[in-house]
Amino acid sequence: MMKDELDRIADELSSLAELGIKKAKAKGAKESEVFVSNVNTLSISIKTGAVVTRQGTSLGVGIRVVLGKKVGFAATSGVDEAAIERTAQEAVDVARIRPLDPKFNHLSDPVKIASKDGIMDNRVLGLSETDALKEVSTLSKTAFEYDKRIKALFGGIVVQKGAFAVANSRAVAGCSKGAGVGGGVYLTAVERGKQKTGSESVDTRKLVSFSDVGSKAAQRAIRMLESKPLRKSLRTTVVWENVAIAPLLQGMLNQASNARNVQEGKSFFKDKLGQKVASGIFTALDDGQLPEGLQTFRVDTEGIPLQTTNLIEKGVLKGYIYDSYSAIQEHKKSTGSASRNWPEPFLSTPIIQTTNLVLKPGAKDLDGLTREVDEGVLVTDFVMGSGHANMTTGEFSVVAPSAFLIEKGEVKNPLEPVTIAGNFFNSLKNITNIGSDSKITGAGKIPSLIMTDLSVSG
Amino acid sequence: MFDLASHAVKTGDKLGARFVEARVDDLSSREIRTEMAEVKDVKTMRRLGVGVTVYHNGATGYSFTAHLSKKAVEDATEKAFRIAKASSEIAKVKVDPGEGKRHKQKELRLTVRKHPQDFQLTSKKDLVLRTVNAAEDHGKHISSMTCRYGELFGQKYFTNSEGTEISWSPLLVDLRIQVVSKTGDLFVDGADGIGGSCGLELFDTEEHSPEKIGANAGEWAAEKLTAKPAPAGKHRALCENRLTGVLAHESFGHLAESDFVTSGMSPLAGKVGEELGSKHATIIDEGTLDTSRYYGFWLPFDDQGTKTAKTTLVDKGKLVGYLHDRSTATLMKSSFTGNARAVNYNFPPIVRMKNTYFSPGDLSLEEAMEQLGTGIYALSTAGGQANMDGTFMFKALRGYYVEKGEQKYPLREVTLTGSILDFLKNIEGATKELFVSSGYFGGCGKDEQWPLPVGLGGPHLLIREVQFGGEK
Repeated sequence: MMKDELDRIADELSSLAELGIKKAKAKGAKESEVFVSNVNTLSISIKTGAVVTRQGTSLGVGIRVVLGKKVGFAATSGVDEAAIERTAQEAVDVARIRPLDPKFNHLSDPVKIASKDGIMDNRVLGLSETDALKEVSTLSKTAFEYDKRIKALFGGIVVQKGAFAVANSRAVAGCSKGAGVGGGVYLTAVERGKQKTGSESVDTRKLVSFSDVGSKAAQRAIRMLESKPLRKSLRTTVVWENVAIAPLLQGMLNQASNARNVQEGKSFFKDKLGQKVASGIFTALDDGQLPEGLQTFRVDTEGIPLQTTNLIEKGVLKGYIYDSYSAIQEHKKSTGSASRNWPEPFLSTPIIQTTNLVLKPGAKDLDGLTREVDEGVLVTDFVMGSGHANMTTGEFSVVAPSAFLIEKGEVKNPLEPVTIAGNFFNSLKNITNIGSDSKITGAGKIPSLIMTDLSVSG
Repeated sequence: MFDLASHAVKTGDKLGARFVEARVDDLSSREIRTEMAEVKDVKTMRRLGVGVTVYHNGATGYSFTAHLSKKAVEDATEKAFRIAKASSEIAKVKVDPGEGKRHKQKELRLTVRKHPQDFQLTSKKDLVLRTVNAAEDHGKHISSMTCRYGELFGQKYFTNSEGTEISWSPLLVDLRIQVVSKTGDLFVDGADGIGGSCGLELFDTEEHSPEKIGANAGEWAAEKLTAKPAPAGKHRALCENRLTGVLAHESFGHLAESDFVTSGMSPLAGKVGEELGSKHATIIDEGTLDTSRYYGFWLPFDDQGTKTAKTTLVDKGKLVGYLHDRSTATLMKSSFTGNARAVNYNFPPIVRMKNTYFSPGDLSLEEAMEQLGTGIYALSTAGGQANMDGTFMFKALRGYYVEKGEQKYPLREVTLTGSILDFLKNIEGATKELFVSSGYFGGCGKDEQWPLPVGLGGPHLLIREVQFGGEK
């Protein structure tokens, strides 16, 4: 598949979306929105030498209709005319039995701002299964060759390319496309009955070699074999590596910045616009137009151009993110933040979601940050429990399988798993430095950082 | 639909494949969501497609399509064959489906009184609104409330090179609510719900009526407004059924999945026959529980056409088995357990759990509470995560501090951490009741596949030296 083929698919989807609106109108829905997507996935997984490969295209249509102030949604896989017709009818049937939503005024109106798709790399679009299998083989080999104590490995590569189109009866018509490749490894090292894990992944829009993903994961696991228990509970400073903090940071800021949550009383940032919510060195953007960002598209899943929204500037809360429903409640414009679940976005109604959460980086790398800390803990690799934190209140308690003791700026022994707990929103004010090592992940582009005064026990 | 599946098998056999499995999944689901008392989302969704697995030279290839034509199925089979062939060149560990029993069973379905398919969405909307009203009546300082109803039903068709032909109808209903109460800067939550392979008559029972579910969630949130954070450190704990279910599934069950075992990833690899836990630790994984007594997920066959077995994983503390798909069972010379499952036609079956639970013991709840003495009573779950080395962290939804066998005061932020292997050794007793449930929302996730419906549960378990997190 090359770029022009994806363009052709996008055009086809756009005309299907327009067709859907006509079908819905014929069924009695004057107001409707039709979303169509086509996503091709090549996924290769390797589990200590055993290989499973899967490839295919997920496609389908999701239709929202409005009858009076009653909104119905129906979706189906497949995009032939009969499927579209049937789905339009189902959406109408659903709308009929729904109670009125007094807050629903109308679907989104067109927003005219220039916007672009992210980087499209023909080498990603053209990556064959044979090429991808070679990368997977290398990624596994470099891990096992790194150290003979590496005993087991789960890894693989996923190549995804796709397009979607969305149109509504209020003249919104947009389409967007994207392609990316991700490679990752999760492995275990074993010595004298002690088992430690390590992981590493790279997600990118531009084709890169994945050869050092395996060895980096191996290095992470091997160094944990020397771990010692902390055997105490203390309040101390935590240096978070970028990948360790990114999921928690994205989860929390996504929940708190979401305008619908603000309106429904589920956001910690409610009534705090213009107030100081974070340390003065903390600046965060939701950048839907970051060329290399994994969540960059020309339009969101309601057809509104993606853009850059200031969330927090030098610690002061500057804005929230909106889809059209929440924007209409406040007579505002959508910020292009309506998202649906990949790789079958047609199956879901839009929810508000950050695109690429970008933290303004500082000057020092992770080593530099660590050297600043007199006493504390360095948390690397993934942590468990980020997704289960209380995103409304900010309370979190995570377990770090890959943490180290810091003494007088030096990284000392690795630790047996430690629990780190605190309130994320209080901790935002306790960020004393931010690193220069921003990493692109599904969460955005996030560097390492230092938070003081967290509870660490183990 | 069998025509399309058989056509895939024929095409693959003609290409010279070692073995072909083909299935057609036609799954429909409906969801209703309310925020406070407003109905925010009503959705109907249908996923219909064909998936083909081809085994060739010790590797597998899987391809899928949403187009229901013979041509599309042929293309998918050819693609699966091609990628299996290419994959075999890098596969160091060869997989083989072995030999299975040939089954011919068509149109298997549960008998329920009120199949959700026969009821209008309006009646389900009423269930949701009744739940919300009850929560409102029993809650305090409610700042938000989300209630969800979800259902899943449809048809699955399967055939393979051995001539097995199976079709069956999955079924799942689920009703749950989360209430957030707020005073000042303090937010607390309460939640309740129930789901399983049942008809809508589930919600006619007193215990699982919308009124009871709503009242529970409202009261439990209100109660937490004055709760103290759980004291960090090690405590004796009494874990309630739903929480022990999560431990059985999340922290132990995954380690027993044989792809983790054959790859050497699981700490349980090579440990069959070893004493892992106390005599109170028995863990079962089962496909078809008695649906008149338990609310699990009814799974008569897995996605490789294997009849699901009742598999004992841990028997009175001793590790006795693993969960298998055909390839891992063949590799380890074990019998098939029927654990090859795919979340929908986009994915190949991989080793997954069915209904996983701790077996009950002989204590009454009063006796267990008395044995607990001083410690923490932890109930239900707000999620959690487990690592392959056996470490885990789980959040209980509710907790109480217990002194001398008496519940003293409610706790919030009750987080349990530890290693499942220590945990199994520290089980001091189990109560005699068994509770198993499943759900449309929040199924199991593995690799790229989520949310797969699974059942989980157990009795109450009494465990010593459980590490509780939280702020000091």
